[in-house]
This record gives sequence, C-alpha cells and structure tokens, in this order.
Amino acid sequence: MSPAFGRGVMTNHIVDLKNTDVALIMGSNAAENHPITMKWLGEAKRVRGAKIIHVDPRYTRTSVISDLYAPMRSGTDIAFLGGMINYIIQNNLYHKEYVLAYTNASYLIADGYDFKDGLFSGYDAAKRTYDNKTWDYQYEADGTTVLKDPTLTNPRCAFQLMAKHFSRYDIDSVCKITGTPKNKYLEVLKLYTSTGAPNKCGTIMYAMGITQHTVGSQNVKSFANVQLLLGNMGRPGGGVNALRGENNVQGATDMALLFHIIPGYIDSPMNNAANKDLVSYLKAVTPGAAKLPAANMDEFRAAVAAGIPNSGYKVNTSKWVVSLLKSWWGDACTKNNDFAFHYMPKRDAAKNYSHIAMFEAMYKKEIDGLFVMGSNPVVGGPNANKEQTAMCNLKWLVSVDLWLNETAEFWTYEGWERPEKNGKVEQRNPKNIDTEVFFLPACAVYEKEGTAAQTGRWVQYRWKGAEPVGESKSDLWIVDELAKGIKKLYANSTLPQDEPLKNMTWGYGHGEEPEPIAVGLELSGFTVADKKPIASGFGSLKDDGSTACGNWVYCGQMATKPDGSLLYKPMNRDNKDNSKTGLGLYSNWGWAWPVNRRIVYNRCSVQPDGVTAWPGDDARVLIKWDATKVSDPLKPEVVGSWVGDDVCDCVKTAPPDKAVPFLMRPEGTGCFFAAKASFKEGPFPEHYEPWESPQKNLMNKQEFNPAIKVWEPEKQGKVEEYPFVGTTYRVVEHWQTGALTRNLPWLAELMPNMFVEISEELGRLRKIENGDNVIVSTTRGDIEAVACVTKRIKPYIVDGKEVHMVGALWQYGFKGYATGDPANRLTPHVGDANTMIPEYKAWLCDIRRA
Amino acid sequence: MARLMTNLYDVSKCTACRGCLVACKDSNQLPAVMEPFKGNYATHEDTNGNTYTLIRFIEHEDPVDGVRWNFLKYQCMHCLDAECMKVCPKKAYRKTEWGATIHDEDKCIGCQYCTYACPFGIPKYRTRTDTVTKCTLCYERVEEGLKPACVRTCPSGALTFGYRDELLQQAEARVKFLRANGFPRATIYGKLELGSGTNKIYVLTDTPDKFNLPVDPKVSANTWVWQDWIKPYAGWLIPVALGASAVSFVTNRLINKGDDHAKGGHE
Amino acid sequence: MKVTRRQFFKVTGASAAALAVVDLGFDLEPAAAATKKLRIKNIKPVPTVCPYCASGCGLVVYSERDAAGKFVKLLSVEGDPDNPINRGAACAKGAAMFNLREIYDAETGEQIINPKRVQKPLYRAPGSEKWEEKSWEWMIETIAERVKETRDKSFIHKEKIADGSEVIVNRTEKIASLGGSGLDNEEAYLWSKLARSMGLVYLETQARI
Repeated sequence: MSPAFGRGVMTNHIVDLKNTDVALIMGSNAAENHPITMKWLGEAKRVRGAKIIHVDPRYTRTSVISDLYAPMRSGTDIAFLGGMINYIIQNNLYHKEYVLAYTNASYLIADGYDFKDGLFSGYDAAKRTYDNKTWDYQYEADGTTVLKDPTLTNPRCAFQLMAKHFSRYDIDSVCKITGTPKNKYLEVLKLYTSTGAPNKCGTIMYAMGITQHTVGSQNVKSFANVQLLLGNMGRPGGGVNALRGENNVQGATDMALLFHIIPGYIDSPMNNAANKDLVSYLKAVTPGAAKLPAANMDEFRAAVAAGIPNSGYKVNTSKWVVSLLKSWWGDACTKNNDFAFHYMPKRDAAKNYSHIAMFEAMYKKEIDGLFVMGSNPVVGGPNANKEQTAMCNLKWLVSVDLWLNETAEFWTYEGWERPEKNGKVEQRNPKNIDTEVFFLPACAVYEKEGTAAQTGRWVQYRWKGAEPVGESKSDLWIVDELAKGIKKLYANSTLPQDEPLKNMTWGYGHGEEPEPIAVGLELSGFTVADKKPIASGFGSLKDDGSTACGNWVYCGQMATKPDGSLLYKPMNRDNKDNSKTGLGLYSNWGWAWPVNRRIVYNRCSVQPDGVTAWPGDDARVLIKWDATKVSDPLKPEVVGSWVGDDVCDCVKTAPPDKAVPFLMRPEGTGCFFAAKASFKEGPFPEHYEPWESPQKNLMNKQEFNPAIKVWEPEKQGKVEEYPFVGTTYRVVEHWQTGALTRNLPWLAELMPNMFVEISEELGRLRKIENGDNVIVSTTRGDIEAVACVTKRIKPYIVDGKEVHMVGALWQYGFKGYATGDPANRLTPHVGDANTMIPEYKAWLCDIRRA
Repeated sequence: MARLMTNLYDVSKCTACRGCLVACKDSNQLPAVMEPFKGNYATHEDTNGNTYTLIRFIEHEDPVDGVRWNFLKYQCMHCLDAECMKVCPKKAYRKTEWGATIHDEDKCIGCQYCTYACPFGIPKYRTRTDTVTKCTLCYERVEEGLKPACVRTCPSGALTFGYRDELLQQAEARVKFLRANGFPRATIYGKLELGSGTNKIYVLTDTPDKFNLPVDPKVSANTWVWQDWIKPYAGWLIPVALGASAVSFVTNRLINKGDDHAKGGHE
Repeated sequence: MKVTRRQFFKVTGASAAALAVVDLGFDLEPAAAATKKLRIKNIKPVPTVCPYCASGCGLVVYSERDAAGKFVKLLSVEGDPDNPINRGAACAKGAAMFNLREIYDAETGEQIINPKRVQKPLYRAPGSEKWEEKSWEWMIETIAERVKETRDKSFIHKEKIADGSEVIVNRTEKIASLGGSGLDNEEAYLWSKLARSMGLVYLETQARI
C-alpha cells in the first residue's frame, strides 16, 4: 500500500465500516477472523442499506452474511481485480474529479517504460530481477518537475498506460482464469463500481488471503488502484483496510521487529557506501535527498530547511533518526560521534534476513541462538517440516510463552511423529537433538499492563485484572531482566564493539517491575534537557540531539497533566463520538497514530477546493479549510487552517492548492503507476500463476512472478503428481497457531481436531466420505486430518477444466487440548517478491483416504 | 403478569461465531465437553449438562438458492406454557414474572422426566450434580439489569433482548424485509408455537425444517396423561404412565432423593 | 416480584472511573425467590483489550478480591460495554478469556488454574528427553552467558565495503529473534532496542508470515 498511498496501514478503522455503502471483502474471512467487523457492517446495512460482497475460494461464515458471494480460484486476485479496473475505465465509472486532483493519473511516464509478454522493461532473466530505471516519470528540464497531461489523453500518461495495461483483462479472459461464474463476476463488478459515484463510498477489507501469495504486494496494489479510481480513499466508509491478525502486529511492526526497518518505518542501515555515516544514510533514506551536496549534518539540515523537491513529509526523516539514536544511546549519542549512528547494526545489503531466509540459514547451520517471543513456527512457519528440522541445528533456543507450544517442544518424540514414513522429512529423536532450550513462562494479557495498537492504529491501554499464574512474568519484566543481565556481562568491556550494549540507556521505573508508562514516555519522546514529554507531536522533533524519541509515529501519545504527572493518552476512555455527523471517530478514546488521526488521507474527504463536500456527501466530510482561522495563537500572522472532526492529514496551515492529499508520497498524490523502486515486479499489477499451479498462465508468457526468489526449485510440485490446489485458513474458534486457543478447553471443545475441507465432487473422485481420516501430501510433507466433505466448496471450471481444492486449517499441532497435524508441513518456502510473505494460500497437493 | 422479556434471535444476522456458547459457559461456570470432530462444525449435536446453548450448522442446496449454510442458536425456548414445569414432580421449575423458565437445582431430584417431556428436548441430566439443568435466560443477570450473557456477547447483532411485544413487532418487520430481499420463506418462530408461543423469538430465513426445528412442536402424549390425569393422584401411579424400562429408575429417584431432601429440610 | 422501570443506565458516556455494568434500559428488583445470585454484582471490572485478532475489542475482567484488595480468583471475563469498538461484544475467542488463566474441571466442575499454563521456568539440556525446573535467576544468567558467548564469537565490528573503505557494521548473524506481535508496544519497543544493541539483524515478527 505504501507505494500507492505512502503508508502501509489500515486507512480507516473498525467502527468506520458503518459508514460504507458497499463493502468488498476479498482475501478475508472477516466474520470468522475479525468477528466484530460484522457489528459495524451490520450497522451499515441497517442504517444505510449497505451491501456486502464476499469474493473467496471458499463459501465461509463471511459468505453467509454477505449479499453477494463470488467464488474465485486461490491465487487469481490480480486477474479478478484487473478485470474490475478495466471495467471501470471502459465504462467511464471512475470518479473523475478525484482521479484528476488526488492521483498521479495525469503524470507522464518515461519513454523507456514498456510491458511485453508478461515482463516490464528492464528484466534480467539470469538474476530474476528488474533494473527499474525506466519505471519513472517524464520531467521538465530541471529534472524534478514532473510533466503532466490534465486531459488524461496523452498515451504516455499513467492513466492511459493503465487503461492499456488492463485492457487485456476482459470479462471472459478473467473468468477463464479465476473460475468465477460470469454472471456472478458481472454482479460484483456492477455492485462494487457503483461506489464510483461521488456520493458513495466503498470499503475493501482484506487479510492474509491477499498477502500470502507470491504476488501479495501487487494484489494489494490492485485494491489501491480500484479505490483510487472510484474515489474511495481518505473518506469515511472507504479505504483499503488491512485486517491485521495479531492483537499488536501493528505495534510490533511500528517498533520494527522486522529486519528491513528501524522504528518508524525507516529503512534499516546496510553495509554500503550509502550508509557509511549518518549523513550518507539520511541522504539515502530521505526521498529526493540522494544527490544533495550536503557533507555534514549542518549542511543537510540547511538543505532540509530549504526544502527538498519530491520528498513529501519524509523530508523530516533526519529528525526522526537522530531522536531515535538519542533515545537509545543517551549521553553516548552526540554531535561529535555522528549521534552514535555507527552503533546501529548494519545488515549485509546483499542478504535477505526475512522469515524464510532465517530458517534457510538455520537449516544450513548458520545460526546458533534463537529467541522466540510468543511465536510458533513449528506450526505457523511455511514448510514447517524444514523449519522444525532447521531448529535442531540451534545451539540454544529461548522460548517465551504462556504454554509449552510445539516450538518449545520441537525436540520431543511427539514432535517427530508423522503419518507417513518417507524421505520428505528425516526422523529425529530427542537424544540426537543437541539444542539447549530455555523456556520462560510469560503471563497472560490481563495479568499485566501496557498498550497495544489495533488494526486501525488505535492504541489502547490494558489494565491488570489478575495476578500472574505461578512464577510467570510479563514480557516487559523478562526483557528488562535480560537486558540487565546481558549489560552486566559487558559492564567492564573496553572494546568499541561492545559500546552499543554498554551505552544503551536502560532504566524504566523505580522498583523491581519496569513501568509501562516510563517506556511509553521514551517511545513518545521528550526534550532531553528536562525529560518533559513532547506532547505536540513529531513536528517538534529535532535532529540536533535536543530531543529523544523512540518512535516518531508514536510521538505525542504522552502529555503532561495539569498536576505535572504524565498523561498516557492510550488510557483515555471518553467514548463519546466527537464527530458532529455521527461518523464514529471516537477521538478521545485511546490514541491513534499518527497524531491521533483516525482516518488517514482525509484531505480527500472534501473536494480539491477544500471547502465543498463531494456532491451529496456532506455528512462524510472529515476536514475543511477555514481561510480565516488562526490555528496557532503564537503565530497570529499565519491565517487559514484545516478544521474538522478528525486531525487533518496534510500540513495544517497549507492552503487547499498546496495541501497534498498523500503527503507521505514524494508525489503527494495517490499512485496508479508505482514508480522506481516501489515494487520488485513492476509498476502495475500483472497476473502470474502461483508458484505451484494446476493451470498455465493465460494472461502472458510468464508462469509465476518473474521477480521472486526461488529457494527450493526441486520442491516445486507438478500437477501430474499433485493435481489439486491446496490452501490454508483459520476458523473463528482458534487463533493463529492455536497456542493461545487450543490450550483453552472452551475453544478446544468447539474445534477439537485438525480437518480439511473438500467438495462432494472431490470426495466422490477420491472415495472420501464426510468424517473419514485422510492423508494430504505435497512435495514437502504429509499430514493426517479428518475430512469435512461439504457443499460449500465447489470445483472451479478453469479454462474449461475442472480444478479441485483442498482447504486446510493451519492452526493445529501436537500440543494442547485440541490437536492435529500442522498444515504448514505442506506449504512451500517461497514468498512475495517484495515482502517475502510466504505463499500459504495456493500450492499443489494430493489427498487420499488414510 | 408482568410484561414479558426475552431474546430475539435473527438468523439472518448470525455468523455462528459461537461467542454465545462460550459466554454462556463463562457466566454459568460450565466446563468444556470434548467430543471429536466428525465432519460438521457443530461438535455438539445436542445440549448437554454442561452446554446450555449451541449453534447448529446445516447445509442446504437447491437449484434456486444455490448453497445455503443455515446457523441456528439452540437452547431452551422458555415456552410460555412450559411442559417441564407441569411434569416436574418436585416443582423444581418455575416461571419468573417476565417469562424465564427457571429450574432450582436444590429441588431437582434428577428424575429426568422433564427431559422426555420437553417438546424441544432441551433439559439434560448432569452427572456431577445429579440434577437436570438448562438455560436460565440468565435471570440472575437480567434481574440486576444486565443482558443475558449470550446477548451481551453477540458481535453481529443477531441477538437482542427486550420486551417480547416490542421484539415481536421488530421480528415481523424483519421478516417482511427478508421476504422482499431474497428470502421468500422467511418466518417468525416462537410467536404461536405450542399454542401460546415461546419466550424466545426466532427470525428464520427459511422454513423451520431447514433449521431442524419442529415445524409444529408438540407435547408428547405422555405429558398430557401425566399432567391432566395422573398427577392429581400420587406417585404410585407413575409406573402406569411410563415405559417399563424407565419405571424403576424414575420411581427410585423420586423416592430416594425425595427422602434426602426431606431430611435436609429443603422442602 | 415486581417489575419496575427505574433509572435508565446508558453505557455511552461512562468513564473509566465509573464503568457501567448495567446495560439494559430497565431494571428489575431482585427476585425474592432467586435461587442464584449474580456473581459479578458489585465487582469492579478491570478493562483490558483482547489478545487475539487485531480488532482491539475491549474486555473487562471480574475477579474476587479479599478485604485488603488482594486478588483471590477470577470470576469472569466479558466484553467491555464502554469500548466503542465492540460495545460489550466478544466472539468465541474473546468470550473464552477466562480459560486463559482458569478453567472448570470437566469431572467435578471445580474452578482450577488452567493446567496447561507453565508456572516455572523450564530448561531442557542437550540430548535430554525432559524438562527441568530452574530459578529465574539461573535462567537469566545462563541465557545472558549464551548470548555473550555466541555474540562475541560471531561479532562483525568492521567490514570492507565495495569502494574499498571500512565501515563499522556492529552485527551478529548467529543470533536470531522471531515473534513479538503478541507483545505490548512497550515490550516490543524494548526488545527492538535491546536486540539491535546486541547487533541482531535476523529480526522478524509475525507480520512477515
């Protein structure tokens, strides 16, 4: 989403679903995996007469509640959505004023850009990568001002190139690929594109059904293009809404528990010349700054103050980076030592450190020690047999969890039981596994305190409602103890390499227990001189070492109460809707990042003039330009300000013609054409089959995504041996790998055993009856499960042929009250070209009676 | 009689998340009952001594509607003219003034006659307490101003709680809407069933049989005999009314447990 | 028993201090013959947020406390009626939160601590077939030693880059970290800070899978 809008977050929020006219749920089983969304969609139905569309390979509990269900073969989302983009353009259904004002539709694209036979210009087949230099705009002589065609007729403008690119996605071609009945597809097109009317808003809700593909990022980009065409971004009831799966996966991502970023979505430093010192790094990570002549921080600061063209709001990156360094290394971070930038680990630019890569390295004995913080790769990791085998190569493993899950017990006899003895997995036994395992019992969510960011970026405080069981401890206590224990061992070191640990600031609270609010203050930011919170937000951060802030996107979540004590805004519990038109913003409940903004890109909720509502849509205006208002009493000369119920997502005092709607993008607009390094596989989405597919690619000459890394070419299953499409999913009764639900009797009783779902037709073909035990096999492994033979799954007619699907729950393992084989013993080690998210959702398998 | 209060359950809004089932267990302190998965999401085929409410999952397919997956929350219907009450030899059942049929475990002797008499087969025997048990409409919550646990927890809005007369009006409007919007056979259930209706109102998207509900629920013949003819005479006539196999079981319980209770001063 | 219309308690507008527990628009005088009392009557609910999907539904925890306010046992966990996201609702998972700590025994119906919860730090030696209980002190000290040993042995302080110059890279590729999406913000942040200060680059969370 970031290449289209500037941020990768859920754009709206859960309650906002009630403001929609049409909800397209695709690649999500929202009723099961995000049940509360049904409350607000129900409200939209009741109050607005809204409609719900569900597009999914399976008829699920979400389909039941939808007004329209359309089946689609797993892994063909781009074909499905490409057809929608084509339908919108061909039938002139796009929101014209919106597209012209708020997107890069009019931008002219460089002459070298081309697309042929499934490949964009610049492909290197040997390296399976693209040189993206032609994926760029046309510029005026100054080299920075983009040429545009406001008539949208120039064949080289982004709009026309997009029209041409998707013109191949006609309805018949799409349905041949996706297996969607044509009448259903047409119904979906008609209903959803009705939201292109200026007084309508449609929301798209998605989850892992979209991202867990080798084309996952481009699936999301397809949504972005649809929503920008229909004018559904930045408006209540609209948006591209990623329904995140773990209660604080948003927060953990914000805190950069990911190799490629540091807190606040800034690229992590690498071992190359562009990252060799702080200024080089800042030039590399600040858009448009790469060629600045600045040689030191003072010059860089001056350049930023003067303004960097095509930089967007990220022009402020230096303030975020230096404040982060200051919060981590305190007094050891000074102007004279490059603000301790060299303390930050620099990854190898040539290497990938993502989940799959980590386990591939572990498999090759390149990793000795592993911390697992409430995660369960033996059930949840792709190609789980390989990942479990890889763990045997560890010298030590630290597992922090409430339960002895499958990962903590990967070494047990139980852990190595398999339904089939064959060469797919080497059998192990505890006696020949030399890994030392440290299990640290964590306490439950309501046995401790702290904050979590939900999917709509609302940060809410959780109070402690019970004492921890036995000697179990909060993760905060555990991390604090580990930090103190490790720091102690380095206290006397004089080696420069130990300085990052030695000089790391540490000390949160007054007694034995670290205090969440003390960490919250560092996260939110403070002025170094007086340790007072920076309540005004990240606009006040400095890059001279005078401010410290652990994560700029959280800046402003802490303020000072009149009595001088700290006000932690996630604790706010005023649940009165502050929206005058009943939009359900609840701005005084918890706190939302950034700066308590509830709907991002909200500049789009009003017409380009900044004052007029979209025709017939007065109630959904979030902000307006008030030409006479002085927003800062200390600066009475600055007249004119954005006002409204939400916090404006543009510069507050920038007049309508300067207040760009997508300020995190260098362009300032939403992007149909994703320029330069946005994506590894091209500026527009293109349909490629999954890595393992029963079907040849009917859209172009490439079988699968030409830019993905293929880790195990020998493990690619062939349709002759593995004729059926396999996919994985969850049910409402269990959560993720099941560690936190299969150990709860009330949930175990509802979904007690691993099962797979197949159609009655496939049941007849393989002589499998409902309730039979079956074996499902791929090149990676075999699992045993109970068969659920159901009318809810139907074979797909793809290019005239019948294609069957096996649906597998991936939430089971050998521990807990509810048990069964992990479905991920079947899934491949192959991932999206950009995010490396594994392709859990489409692979080849066979099934037979056990 | 006071104004009746009850649940309205609208199947067209239910997503079968089963929050109601679990919230019921939380509120009533009921343990889990583990049974293996047999090919249907509903691992509970019926209510049991530790499960007062459950969700049925029923698949249908016909050429017009295509595939339908019908969900049904199933629990005590709190019949306005409750058979369980009539047949209970120890008067363990009673009606609250607002319509909940509640059961006093202290009085129950576990004879299980109610389990046979109930037209919906709801009350179940529970070994660990040696009593029969069932949904209470959370009267202890309602009487303190709280919604029943199942209603409170329902995320999709399928369950609402309120005055029966108002809910019936809502239900009628909803059925009208559903009939005009793709569910021509939508109907209310519980308004007039068993003559006087039940104190649980269902809005169904199809005929009751498509939810495995009795289309015309009936009180068993035995009950009528017991209620109107035998009961006025005394316990010695029970064997006449019951099938032979049940005779000694029920009479023994009636006698033994009745004695215990008498000694314990409960009566 | 009489049904009376009393004060209309509305859930909206309530603050943390006065969490509404009454969610009906009517109130009934307690039944004289009630055989069962409301267990959570007059118990102050403690608000938290559901740990499952990321919707962020609020939950409230009811617990029994002694006269001194000390926690005795859990009573119930329900949806938080004040939370604007869920307004008191909870799906099967959210409604089962009580089980995260305590369960009712299937045989006796007795309330016990969930036997699957691990109550002490556990250690498994190389090649061993079983766990051993250890003290927290021993665990933290031993893990710190393992970290130091692996880190020091594998640490890359400086590296020659393509242009021939040397840069400080301060990393180890021998230690990896996985997970964290279940952690609170404060916990995730501190782990990010500590892991990076140790030089970790294999740092991944569930967002990737």
